[in-house]
Amino acid sequence: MNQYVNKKFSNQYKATIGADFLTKEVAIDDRVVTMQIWDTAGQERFQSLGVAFYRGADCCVLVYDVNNAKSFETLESWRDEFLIQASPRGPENFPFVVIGNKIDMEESKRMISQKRAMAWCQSKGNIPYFETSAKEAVNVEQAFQTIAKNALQQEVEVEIDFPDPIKIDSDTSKDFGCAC
Amino acid sequence: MENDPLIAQMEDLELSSTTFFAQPKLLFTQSKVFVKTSPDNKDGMPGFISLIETVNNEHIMSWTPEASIPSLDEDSYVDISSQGDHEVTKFVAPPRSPTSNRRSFHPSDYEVSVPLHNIYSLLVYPPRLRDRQGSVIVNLIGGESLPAFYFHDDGLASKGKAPAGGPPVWGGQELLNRIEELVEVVGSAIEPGVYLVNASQADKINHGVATPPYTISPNAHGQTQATAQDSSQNERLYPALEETTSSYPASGETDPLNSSKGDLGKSSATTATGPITVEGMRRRKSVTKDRTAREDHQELGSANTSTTTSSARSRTPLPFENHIDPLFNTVKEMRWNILERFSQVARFSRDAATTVLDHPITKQILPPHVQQRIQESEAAKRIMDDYDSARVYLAKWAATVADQGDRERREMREMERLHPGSTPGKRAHGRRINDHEDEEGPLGAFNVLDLEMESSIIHHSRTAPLSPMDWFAFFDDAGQLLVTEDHVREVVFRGGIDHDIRIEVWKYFLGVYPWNSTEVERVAIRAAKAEEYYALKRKWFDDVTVQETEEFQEQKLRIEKDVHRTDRTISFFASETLPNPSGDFTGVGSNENLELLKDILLTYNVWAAKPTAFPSDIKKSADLSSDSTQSTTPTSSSTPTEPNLLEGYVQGMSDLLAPVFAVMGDEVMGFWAFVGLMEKTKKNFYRDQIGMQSQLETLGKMIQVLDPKFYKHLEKCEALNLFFCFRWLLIWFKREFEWVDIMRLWEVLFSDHLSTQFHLFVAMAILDKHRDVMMDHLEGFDEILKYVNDLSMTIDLEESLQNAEILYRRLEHLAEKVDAKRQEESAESMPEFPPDLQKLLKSRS
Repeated sequence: MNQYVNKKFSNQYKATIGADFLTKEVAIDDRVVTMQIWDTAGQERFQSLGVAFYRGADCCVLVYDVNNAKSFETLESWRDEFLIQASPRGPENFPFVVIGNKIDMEESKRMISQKRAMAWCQSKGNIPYFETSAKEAVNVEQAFQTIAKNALQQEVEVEIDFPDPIKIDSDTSKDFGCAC
Repeated sequence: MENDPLIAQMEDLELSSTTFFAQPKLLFTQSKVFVKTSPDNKDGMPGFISLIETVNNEHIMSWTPEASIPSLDEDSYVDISSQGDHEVTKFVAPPRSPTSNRRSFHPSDYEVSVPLHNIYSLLVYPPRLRDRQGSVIVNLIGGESLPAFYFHDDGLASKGKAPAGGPPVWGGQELLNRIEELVEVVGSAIEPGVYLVNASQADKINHGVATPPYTISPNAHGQTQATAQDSSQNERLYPALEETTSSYPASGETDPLNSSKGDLGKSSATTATGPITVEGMRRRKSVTKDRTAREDHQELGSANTSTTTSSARSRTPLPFENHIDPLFNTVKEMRWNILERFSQVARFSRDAATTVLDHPITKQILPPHVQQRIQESEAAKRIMDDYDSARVYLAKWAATVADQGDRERREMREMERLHPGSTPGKRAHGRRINDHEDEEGPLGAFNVLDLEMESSIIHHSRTAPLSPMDWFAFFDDAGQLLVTEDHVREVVFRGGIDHDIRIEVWKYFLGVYPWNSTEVERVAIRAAKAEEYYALKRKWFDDVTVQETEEFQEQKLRIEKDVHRTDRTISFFASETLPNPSGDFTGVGSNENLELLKDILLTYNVWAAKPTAFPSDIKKSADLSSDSTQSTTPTSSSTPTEPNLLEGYVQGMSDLLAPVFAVMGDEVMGFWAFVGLMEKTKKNFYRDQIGMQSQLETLGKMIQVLDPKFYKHLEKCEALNLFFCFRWLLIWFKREFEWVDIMRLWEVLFSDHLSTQFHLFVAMAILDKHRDVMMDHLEGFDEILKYVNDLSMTIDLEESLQNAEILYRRLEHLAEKVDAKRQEESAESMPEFPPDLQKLLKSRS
């Protein structure tokens, strides 16, 4: 998120407590929209805050660490929890994007193969999947382009006029710790 | 003459000896004048402000950054500058356009020189009682403004201690005085703080000084009589000091030529002429050892210098001088403050930055030429990019402006506290109280009660920190406390603790030492605690089977991840002397202290899972801190259900541990002090989040009762869940204040003096400070969240603590009124005071 918006990365960003968001203007098909990217606390314990933070979101980004199996395995529960708390219209079509981050680490550390991740994404209604390195700015831009595009579509479907900025929730999945 | 206050003035002189040269003359210079290079730059860039007379008798004002002076050697700089034209031209370079088109900037970009005749007006903001710096803004005839010059007050404080006790001279005032000597300066009668330079008749009419009762003597280098009056202006600048300096003589009667030693200072103050000497340039050094030089100076000065005594006398007093209602100027200040900020960012370059400008508020505030300049400013754009929306951005500005107003109100209160009756309008922290008037709702009936409070002033009781001397005096020879525990709690509540003794005092507050322990007992406790800690630690440290469990691995990973990004900017945790043992957290090295943080947190997991009996002292503090709505639930850690609720490490705990560990300085005591802190905060981390929820609800009720209008606004914004305060409460403002402030804040919270939930009053105080801005500018939950998150590291702790205490008293007062009313009348007409809030008031619960 910081890499995308501020072109900055630090592995010393403090753990998010509560929630915060950044905004970015993006051009999608000749339209400039303001994207609000929320970052919520990564520990399940704080999921109860989700009601306030998820509501009105147009896209949900689930981020896990490809070197941490547990963080991948909890994606499902984060997704379910999001749908419960955000209670979007048409949950089956609600746009998600999955990001496997930290691909900059050495290959031997990798716990979740691309294949496995993509299989899961497919099983959940073809969720777009990206593998990124926030640290080295790999694929971050592309991921967010897709996020913005899907969010905008959702926004258009939900409301004809769109006074609100596009709102995106980026569930930094548990153990994903550092900047997304 | 030992008590002659004029000596104090003399001490203040920058220039004390002069020799005449037929060369460009440095008439006046002052060091430590700051220009802020960005809005968040607290101190800004230090430099010298100078007044120069060129060989053509033109007068120039210039500001030169210290950094521009080769090798920072002020003395040699002065030497060189006083030697000839070449170097001096550095000063008198043509005015640099504030819109200078540069992308990257360098200290020298801030150098600025303007002929005095190009100055349209000066905006003077004298320092406030508690504000270290005042500022002067120079507006040019073309409509541009130079960046604000901040005159730090720290040196002034030491000068204030001059034996004479006379009023110190604020640098900005001094500059104004000097400019008055060279050109005509009139104070606006309409806008206090505005001084017109060589004003046209029309301007004078506009500013209510159309028929000036004085003669103009704008002669830049001619002769007039030396002033006798100007030093008394300074007196007016510091009304607070007047009481203690009532012996300060009206200095006007003496003739500088024939004056005694005491008058030297005054005359010098008005007559700085000729090239500066090394001695003169060195600010804050003892003014003059050389009396002869001063006398020379005096003669020269009186012969050579022009002054506009009368204009100085007749100009409008500065806002503070006259006890003008500080609120009177808020709107104007707002305008100027924003101008000032824009003038800083507008200097660098161009590029479209329209977001802010499109906002209707900006349009009202900013004159067209400034708006245009902002549009060209890359820096302004950068700033805006950092923020969410124009509204949040403007809200932040408005907050800084409001801060000035608040400060003035605080000064008034402070003065009222110190000198009852010295301020004209009594202004309690109760400006909101009348806001109740037309509010309805469940608590609307409380409204009538409040009005009486307007007239009574509630003060805070904050004092200096507990000193080592006072602390040690609390103990007898056996090292046992002579005073009551409550006394210590009160002292610490009021002032906090000197850092040198924190390491000891915190151990009492965090349950490591019983309050009634003797030194012998404490030695034994330390040994026992060490043994107990290492026994706990061995349970995981020496046990491979434990370490191999999935649960442990997970906890360890989580802890490592957080620890490595906890307070790494603090030197105690900054170094990377060890490799990251987990290898997981890419690129960040570790150090011994970080490794100990991890060990303590892992050991805490073991400890929290152990249904153990608890030392009686901690039990007590745990009971005290028990959450109001939880009073039916057992609070002691001996409850077997508790570990299930806590379930090990939760994000935020590393934030709580870091300061405690740093203060204790070792693993064992760090652990036990952390245990004590967790007793006070662990409910925040329970799985069911009930502790957080109940605190947020209580805070909500507090807002509802104390500030119904703000409550309504939050309701309208759908922000009543107060989730924007979540971080504040979860880790006791750890992310909101600087490191040193956190220690101070926490010990005040440890004290449990007024309330075991005093942190809620602190939260209320911070919200209260920003409520006007939030109500005026912020319209949604997201905006409020952003705004509140971004308050981090900008909050004034002392002010927050003062106001928190005042809010406590207000709530207490309100509760008493409700009780009284309910006794008088039937219970139906007056609803009961909310029980949650009752419980916050220690005196009543």
